[in-house]
Amino acid sequence: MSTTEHPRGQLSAYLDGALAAPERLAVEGHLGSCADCRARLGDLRATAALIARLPDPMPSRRLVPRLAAPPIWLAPLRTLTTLASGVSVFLFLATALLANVGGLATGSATTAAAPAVAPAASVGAQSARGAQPAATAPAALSNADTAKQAATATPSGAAFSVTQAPASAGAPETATERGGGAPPTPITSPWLWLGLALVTGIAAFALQRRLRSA
Amino acid sequence: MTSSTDPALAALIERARAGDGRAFEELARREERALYRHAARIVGPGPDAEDVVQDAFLSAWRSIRSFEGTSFRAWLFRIVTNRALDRIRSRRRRAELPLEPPVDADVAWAEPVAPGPDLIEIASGKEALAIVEQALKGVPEEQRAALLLRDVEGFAYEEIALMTNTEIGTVKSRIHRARLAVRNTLVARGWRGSAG
Repeated sequence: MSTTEHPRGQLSAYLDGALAAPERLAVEGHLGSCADCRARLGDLRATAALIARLPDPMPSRRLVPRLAAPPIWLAPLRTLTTLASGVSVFLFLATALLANVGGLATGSATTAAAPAVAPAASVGAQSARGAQPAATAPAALSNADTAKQAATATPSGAAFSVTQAPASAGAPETATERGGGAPPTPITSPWLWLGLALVTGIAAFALQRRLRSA
Repeated sequence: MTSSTDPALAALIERARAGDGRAFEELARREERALYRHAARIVGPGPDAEDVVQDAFLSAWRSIRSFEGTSFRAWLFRIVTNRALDRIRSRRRRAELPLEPPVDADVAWAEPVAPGPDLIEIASGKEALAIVEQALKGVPEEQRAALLLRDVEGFAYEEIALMTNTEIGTVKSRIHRARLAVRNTLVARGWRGSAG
């Protein structure tokens, strides 16, 4: 290759060290005397450097398949969390409904919270007493618990309503809320069941995805 | 990254070849990001590129016993490159893309038309990277794949020839054309290159 013939088509391969020795030497010889080809080589080098520096796009999901067998406890746990989530949703609806029905039963009187809670507690206690002979279903136990808690909560609830009544004359909304809401026992709080439904639901969903991807 | 130079990698490959799914997962995880960026720059980023890589991994796993080369990485890139190019061709058959990609007919060197920043000076500029990204999209995919395998992934011409089932002369020509096309786009956008 003469020094007058520009080896432009070889410059990329030269840059990448992909030329055989004789070609490489010829290009080197030419570059020593040709500023134009040196400039073009500089262009290609700068272009390659830019391409190498492009920011990486990232995948939106895991692309590596799960080939190892999933742990044996994964499927039963998925079933369990799904069931728990369903039960929690049911209990959420039931407690929310009961709270609303309780609210209607107390009527619009804001000071009637204590009488309303007291009968509810006694009904609960009765049903608990009625269920005790059977004493096999866990539901009966939880009923008994509810009743006890409701009963213990009643005096404080009543005191609260009485003391609150005069002060809340200017704010009937809050009084209605407190008077007509569910008794302050955690087990009858719809929010507890809603929270539990969400947690178990998310867990069930995650486990299902993990099983599917396996 | 070859099995002969890294004993830990060679051991992982051996375990994967013996049917150890976890070993293969580990091998795949090491290249996941690089394979995705490669596929994304051939077929475009998104679900298509993700499918290409995922399918390539499954295909590699199914045929892992047939892997006898020295570079597991090159083997994975070969599978991904071919799948990505296949996807482009099938898209073209479904007429999603123009029948012929834009081709720079005789590999001409565009001459700088106006003074602009030197290419080396702008080498770290975000604007330049955006132009490069855009320019690559206009390069025919086989040239683009060869250029990316060289400039981004650092494979040698011989390896690229094996990966793409072509002669080394074809690889040389593809890389040169693609790189020149990107350089020409930069020049057309006002960079005066190293000559000015």
